[in-house]
Amino acid sequence: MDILKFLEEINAIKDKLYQEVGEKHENLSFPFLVRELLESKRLDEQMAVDLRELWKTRNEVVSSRNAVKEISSSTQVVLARTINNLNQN
Amino acid sequence: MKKESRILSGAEIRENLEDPNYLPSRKEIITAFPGRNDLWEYCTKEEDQVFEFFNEEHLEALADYFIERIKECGKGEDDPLIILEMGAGNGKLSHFLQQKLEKKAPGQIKVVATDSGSWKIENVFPVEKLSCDEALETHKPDIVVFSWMPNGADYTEEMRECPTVKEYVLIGETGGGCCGNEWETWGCDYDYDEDKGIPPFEKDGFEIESLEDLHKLQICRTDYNLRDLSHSNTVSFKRKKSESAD
Repeated sequence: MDILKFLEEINAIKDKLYQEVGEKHENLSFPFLVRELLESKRLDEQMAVDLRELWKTRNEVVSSRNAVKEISSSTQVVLARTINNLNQN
Repeated sequence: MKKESRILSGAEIRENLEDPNYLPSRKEIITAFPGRNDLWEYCTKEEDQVFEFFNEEHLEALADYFIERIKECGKGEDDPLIILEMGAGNGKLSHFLQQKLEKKAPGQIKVVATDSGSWKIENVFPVEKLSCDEALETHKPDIVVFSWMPNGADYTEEMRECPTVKEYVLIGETGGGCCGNEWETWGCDYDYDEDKGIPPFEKDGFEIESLEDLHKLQICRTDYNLRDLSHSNTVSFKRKKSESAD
């Protein structure tokens, strides 16, 4: 998956989760958002772990000195699982 | 420097951006990069990567902010306020900032751009090749600025340890984002089972303030809708008065 597609998917996930809590990104950072959703049991542990991993990859990619073109297959697996779980909820 | 005063097309603006002396307005950036992919592709091109997309309005406001600090720090023409930029990369931020400050408060603020050189970024404007420790030791600044501190890294401890530093200003994504270290820079504790206690900057006698008026003017590489608020922020960490070395 190319990097632009990955970032689009991450943004879509982020927007969906923010809608869940009714907050704008400038008020709550993404990791705190995930923590809040986990603590209020709107996410399970595995989902929280997956989201943190995806966000960590996102941060690495967008801040990299060297342009990243593609994401790894393992990240694609986590992304697909996360999207599937979010769509089921 | 602006070449023309009429409304420019996106293509003309993008051509102007090839000139390193050109500082666009926010409106021009929005015009030049109408789609999110356009901005991302421009910012990630190999030869001249852009992290913070500096613009007229943001740097004008940043300059005004620093001018307020001249008197607060007890500085002036006889003893200029020294602003040290660390991780200056190509030197654009310091260059444009010094230009604006010279117009507004001539001789009262000196801006020095430094960079370790570890990312091997080509200097467009003068940048002294110094490590963070060397830069602080050499210039003994009043204020330190760092734009887009690398993900996971933290240089703020060294800033706080420097006795002349009254404030440091970080530009970029904040806690939870891709700049700096979650805990060491921002004091953000996302661990579910561990309470890390007092944030390092607070322990060292600094207080944090997000400069919201400047935030509204920013544009960065991770912004996917340029009409929404930016992912980038301008955040001040000031040494509390009782902790001041002066």
